[in-house]
Amino acid sequence: MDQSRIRNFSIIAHIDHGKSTLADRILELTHTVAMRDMQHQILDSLDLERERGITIKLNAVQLQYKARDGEIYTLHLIDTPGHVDFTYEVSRSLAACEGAVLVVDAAQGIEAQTLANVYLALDNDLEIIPVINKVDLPSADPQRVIEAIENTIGLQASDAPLISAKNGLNIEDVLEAIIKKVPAPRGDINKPLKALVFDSIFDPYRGIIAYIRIVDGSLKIGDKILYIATGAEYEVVECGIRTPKEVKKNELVAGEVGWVAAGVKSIKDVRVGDTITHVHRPTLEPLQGYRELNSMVFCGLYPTDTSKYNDLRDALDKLNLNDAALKFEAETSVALGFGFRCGFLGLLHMDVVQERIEREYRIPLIATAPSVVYHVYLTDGSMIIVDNPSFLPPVQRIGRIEEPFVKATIMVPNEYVGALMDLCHKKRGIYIDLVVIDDLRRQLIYQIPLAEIVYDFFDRLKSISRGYASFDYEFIGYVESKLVKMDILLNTEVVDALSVIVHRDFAYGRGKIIVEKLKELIPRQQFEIPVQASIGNKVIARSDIKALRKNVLAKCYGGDISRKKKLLEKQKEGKKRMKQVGNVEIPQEAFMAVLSMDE
Amino acid sequence: MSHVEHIYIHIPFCTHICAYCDFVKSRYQPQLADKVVERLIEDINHVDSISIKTLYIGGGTPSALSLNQLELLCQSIAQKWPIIQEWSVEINPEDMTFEKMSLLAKYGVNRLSMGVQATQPRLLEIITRHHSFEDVKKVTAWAHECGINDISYDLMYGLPTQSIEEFEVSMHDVLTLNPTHLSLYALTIEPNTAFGRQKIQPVDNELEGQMYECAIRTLTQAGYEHYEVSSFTKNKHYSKHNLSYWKYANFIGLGPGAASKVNNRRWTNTKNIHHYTLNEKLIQEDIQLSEYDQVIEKLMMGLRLNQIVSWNHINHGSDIRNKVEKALEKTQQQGWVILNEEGLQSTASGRLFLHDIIVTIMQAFDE
Repeated sequence: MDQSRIRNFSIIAHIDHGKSTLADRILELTHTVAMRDMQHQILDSLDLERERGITIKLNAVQLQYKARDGEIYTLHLIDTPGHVDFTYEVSRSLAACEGAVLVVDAAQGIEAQTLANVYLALDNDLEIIPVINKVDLPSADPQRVIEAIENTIGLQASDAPLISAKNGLNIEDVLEAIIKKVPAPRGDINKPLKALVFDSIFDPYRGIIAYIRIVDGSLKIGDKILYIATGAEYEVVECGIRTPKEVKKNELVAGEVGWVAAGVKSIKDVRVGDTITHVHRPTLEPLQGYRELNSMVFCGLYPTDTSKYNDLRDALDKLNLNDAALKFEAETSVALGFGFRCGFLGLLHMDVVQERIEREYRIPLIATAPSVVYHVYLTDGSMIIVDNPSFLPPVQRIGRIEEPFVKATIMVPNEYVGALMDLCHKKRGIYIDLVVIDDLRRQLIYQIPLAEIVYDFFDRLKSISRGYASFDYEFIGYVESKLVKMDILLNTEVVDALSVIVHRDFAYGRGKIIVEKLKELIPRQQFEIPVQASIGNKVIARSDIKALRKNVLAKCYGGDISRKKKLLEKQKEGKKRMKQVGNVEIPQEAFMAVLSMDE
Repeated sequence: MSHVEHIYIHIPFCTHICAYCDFVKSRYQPQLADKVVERLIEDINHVDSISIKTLYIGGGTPSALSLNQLELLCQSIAQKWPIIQEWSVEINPEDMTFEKMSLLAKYGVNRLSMGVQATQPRLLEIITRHHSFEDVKKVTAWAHECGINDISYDLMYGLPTQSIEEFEVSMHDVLTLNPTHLSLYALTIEPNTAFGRQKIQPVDNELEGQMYECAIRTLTQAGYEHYEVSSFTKNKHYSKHNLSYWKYANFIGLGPGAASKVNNRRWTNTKNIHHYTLNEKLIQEDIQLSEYDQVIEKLMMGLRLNQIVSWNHINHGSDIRNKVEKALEKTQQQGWVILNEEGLQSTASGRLFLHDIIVTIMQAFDE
């Protein structure tokens, strides 16, 4: 294959700015997918992705496009996740490309998270093609958006295609721009094989399938290959491309993007970011892998049904295969039994992993409230790392505690600036800067404890700004804070899974909110249950769940049997999702109650 | 088809719609009611059973029908089944007349169920009932005059703003009428009612429990037998028709929204009154009841009664018995059920938590 007619690109966009819709239009236009097979947002193959309108896992598709110059080009579209939590995955897909299409909503303008991804693309030395989408909206203002792109990123955007992905307007302009501006791959087909593994999935019949970008050389069926970092050797059983259907081929060559199956059964042998080469003629320069990202948010995941512990371990292993950012290790809770402490890049990542376990692996879960990682300096001078509040040592042994801070970048329309500054102050934020983006918007920069962001920061930000503010954060370092552990007692027993680390000045207020919330969430049982929040041995808030007096429907005649039985079946199902702690039944939501911040 | 001895007839009309009611009903419309009565008569004539033991006309409000409509309906029933042990009709004091009463008596109706709900004008207004306790007394007198002496009165508790004292007064007022039977219902807020739409909050479970216990105390002291969760009787005037539900007998329901159960099949008529009159899309739900369904339903209904549910009635297999016995070990220790060789029975305290008992059994069948 002639590399000068290959283009490898990603699409970068903020959630809802139309990335998946643009991908759909491109697939249609290049007849990669027949109109009748078109399923809305075809690249998003996880159910979860289509439902949430976000892209989580990478997907790589080969397209054929007959350009205006009369030549036929092979394009590889590599999808990227749009959310801030998935930065790691974005960098994976970007490393497999030479260019990126930056989709910006003509009405909303550029957003904080997009900015982060654009900088990533620039770091990867990618050619960036700005595209203004949704120009047919009444509120569209392409000129203002073009100026903002030029002001904030310093990217030439005056000739950006003005499109409507939804209505298929000017989609060809995007493809033409890709062909003109994105450099062709410059690999050498005659050099030893060098292929980047940018994703992998587990197939129960064929083992682990690696998604790869061939940088140099070629790979064909029967080749003996070596995963350089893991040292694993295998023989290629199948290889091919996706259109997005899987298409088998005999060979993949430099510049191409495709997949390879080599009967790999051990999850440990294939690592995303690794380089594949030939056993007999290996490359001497493996590709630069990916930077391992540190987990920012931790929570405990426990199977509601304790017998599912091993299933949960298998599920986490499998998810880990193409989600290297997921970290987990076994832990035990007095209240919840055996489970795992899991580390995530952020809250959305945590949500997605939980939902995938429950949906794809059908393991009902109890998740504890997320926690950040604290550095606890003991009086003896040593430092321990605490990612689970119940493991915080007794206060007498603690010298000081440091918590992670992030730099928060918020882009917001002028009219909400005041309200958002208020929010940041309430969240213990430290003001750093206020930058003018254009006539309508400002960029706010704050330093905020990550723990405050883990609480309801994002939801509050969205509700205060009616959805207009966008937000991104990056870790900057550890800062000493006045932190204490707050325990929650149900029926006078400490429930370790409900303990939280809070700022001393906020403990009283938060304790009150938590006990009230628990009172609301825990159904009445046959005895009265005191709910208490305490610091050390001192109770700082209390609320009582009264005993249930009766639980029977007054009326039940012939016509009521069906409905009544369904009602009871529902109650039974509900109980499955409850955890028995001591003699109290606690619904799953209660373990998240410590997050509630209603003021 | 097995012989069915219990018939329910649903009259889907009311003079006006009460704020809490979610039964199948609509405002009384004479022409539509004509058609419904016509269809009911066809259905009655189609029932296989040539003799039945109980018949219950409920609603909606059967007494909302016109004299002529009531006559057509009762005539057909009396023709089809000349002897019915217990023939009950639900009435609302608001739309009852002496003529209607004597007509019911003439055709053989021998039991009435009257909606009283409360005796305070204040509370009746809140729940949008348009009658007074004076009306109740008047209609009761007519019934006795016409020879219908078996009368059950419905009262409600847990009404918005209702105090325990008010509820006690209502009970004492009704007791002055010397009823043979009383049914006491806690208000439940259903989504498809005016209360549901207004997002009226149900009263606190604590207060509801106190009212219920107060009712049990008051009525037991007055000589009534508390024979089912919500039912009380003096001199053994049990509702035979309702007992058939609790004992899981077969029954056939006629009219829109009415349910029937014959052996292992249960079906429910369409709730759409027009579809019903046109005989279109008549069956809304038709279920084959599994062995599990039947066991659970027999217990769900049977344990409502202050009577033994025999193992024999539940199932002949010992497996089921073992499962139920094992599931209820703790429940028995709590004093909620009594298990013995003959069968099982809920205790007074157990009947307060019947839902928990049934859910416990359901969980055991899941394992």
